[in-house]
Amino acid sequence: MATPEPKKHVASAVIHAWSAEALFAKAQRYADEMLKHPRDDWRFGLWSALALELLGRAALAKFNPALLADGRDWNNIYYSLGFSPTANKFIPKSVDINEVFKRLREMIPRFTTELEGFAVLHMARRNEDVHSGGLPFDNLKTAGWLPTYYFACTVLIEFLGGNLELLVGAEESVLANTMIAASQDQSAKAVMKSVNAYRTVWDAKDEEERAKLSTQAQTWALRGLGHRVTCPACGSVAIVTGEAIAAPFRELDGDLVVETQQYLPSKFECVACQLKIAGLSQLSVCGVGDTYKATFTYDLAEYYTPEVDYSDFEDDNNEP
Amino acid sequence: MNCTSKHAVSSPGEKFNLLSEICERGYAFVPSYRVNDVTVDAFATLGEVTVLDGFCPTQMLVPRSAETVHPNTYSGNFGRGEFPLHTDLAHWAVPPRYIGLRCVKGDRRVATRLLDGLDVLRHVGRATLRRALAKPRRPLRGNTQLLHLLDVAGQDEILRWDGLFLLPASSTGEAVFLQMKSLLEKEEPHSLILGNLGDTLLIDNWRMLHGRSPVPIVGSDRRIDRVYLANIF
Repeated sequence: MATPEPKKHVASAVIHAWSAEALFAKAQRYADEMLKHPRDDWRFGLWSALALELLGRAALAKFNPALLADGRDWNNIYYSLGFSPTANKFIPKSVDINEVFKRLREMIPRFTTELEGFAVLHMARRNEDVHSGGLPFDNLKTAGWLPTYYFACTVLIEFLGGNLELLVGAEESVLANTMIAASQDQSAKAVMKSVNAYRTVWDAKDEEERAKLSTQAQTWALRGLGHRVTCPACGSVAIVTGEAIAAPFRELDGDLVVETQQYLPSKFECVACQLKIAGLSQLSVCGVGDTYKATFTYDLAEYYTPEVDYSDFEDDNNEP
Repeated sequence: MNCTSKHAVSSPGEKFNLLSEICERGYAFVPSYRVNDVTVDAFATLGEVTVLDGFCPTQMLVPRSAETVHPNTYSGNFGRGEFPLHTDLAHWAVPPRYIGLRCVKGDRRVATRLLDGLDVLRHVGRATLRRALAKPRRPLRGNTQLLHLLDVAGQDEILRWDGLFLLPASSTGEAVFLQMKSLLEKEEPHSLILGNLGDTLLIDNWRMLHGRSPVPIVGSDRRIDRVYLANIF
């Protein structure tokens, strides 16, 4: 992954409000407020959500503050680049927070689909809290969200070049790391339980059926739907799919363009025993969480000819 | 707190390795340097003079009583009294890297005081200082901004402190402000006198805190020129 160029630090009076530094400092301020309350207090939850939003925006700004700009008005992009728009009554608008987390998932490999899902859910709680009479942070059990919260924060802060201690201090960060480790261990146990259950069902099938299902799985897996792995429950050929974590690498091989790209797995599926697993941490526990390389081959004409979508035509129709 | 280049300067008749001296102890002193040059020209042989937005290239520092100066300056607050240890322009997003002070008219009764920020880092702790948030006491260019007492700037760190122009902006900031004030009361800064024409002091403003001893009520016409530098040759 390409990291942003380091900046030259020259004396300057003000810091841009959309800079990674300014946004991270504000996340720290909110985290300080969060820590003034017991972990099961609603205010702890609300401040945690506000801090996570700022942390997400800081991480995106580290790539470039322009990624935060609401592109519907070019003045927002102009502002993000450090200029002062002259438009009347201009108030800078940034992109929706769900879009921020979606972009981070695609740009930071360790910010997985699971973490994106958690972040979006936590933002929904915040929205409900500030925009409705609902009380989403009351009675929220910490075991259900705090370990994932701290893990998401850790991934984002490490991307920013720091560590969790910078957000919550030494004492809380030790506790947070313990919670993260325990939670990952628990989810590991849970997924292995599931794998064992599928294995039991598989073992109960007769040999002929197992062979038939394994052959079907092999045929299905050859279709190029993802990366082929061995199912941890039944041993048949299965598939993992995931998100690209690097730009594709292309090279010419005679008349062919060979494109390779690194992926981080996020889902597993075996059609033989029907086992499905989602989430990198669970996949890793089952031994199918390694990054993989996908290779695509195109001929030159196919690669460089613009794709025709026939949008001006009616739907395809095999006429009699 | 690293130094980013290590070039020795050689100017006619003089050879210095100021940067290594500054790396070693946070400042460098050159006695009676280029006494016939104007200040900005003398400093231009030592480093890259930087002109900050709203500042003259050379600023003349003379003792003034508090009643005669606006309160947006140290003299307007402390008059001829002691200037507490601080970072120049600590309330800026990025304070100037180096301060150059040059004696135009000396007074041996007045000292420049220096405290090594590495002592502060040792006492308070890097991680705590990086969590401690401050803000300028007044809006700057129409905005209020959050600042870390310890920032990372590439390979370098910026320690900032000003007990007057900065206010704590988080609970960690409040705790560290108390800790800093107590620490600075206890610490014994190094005193250095710019007594002769051309006496030149270069200070790493990202590392060192500096201040001034009280100026006698009468009889002092001390004058020090100040410039800011982006780097040292």
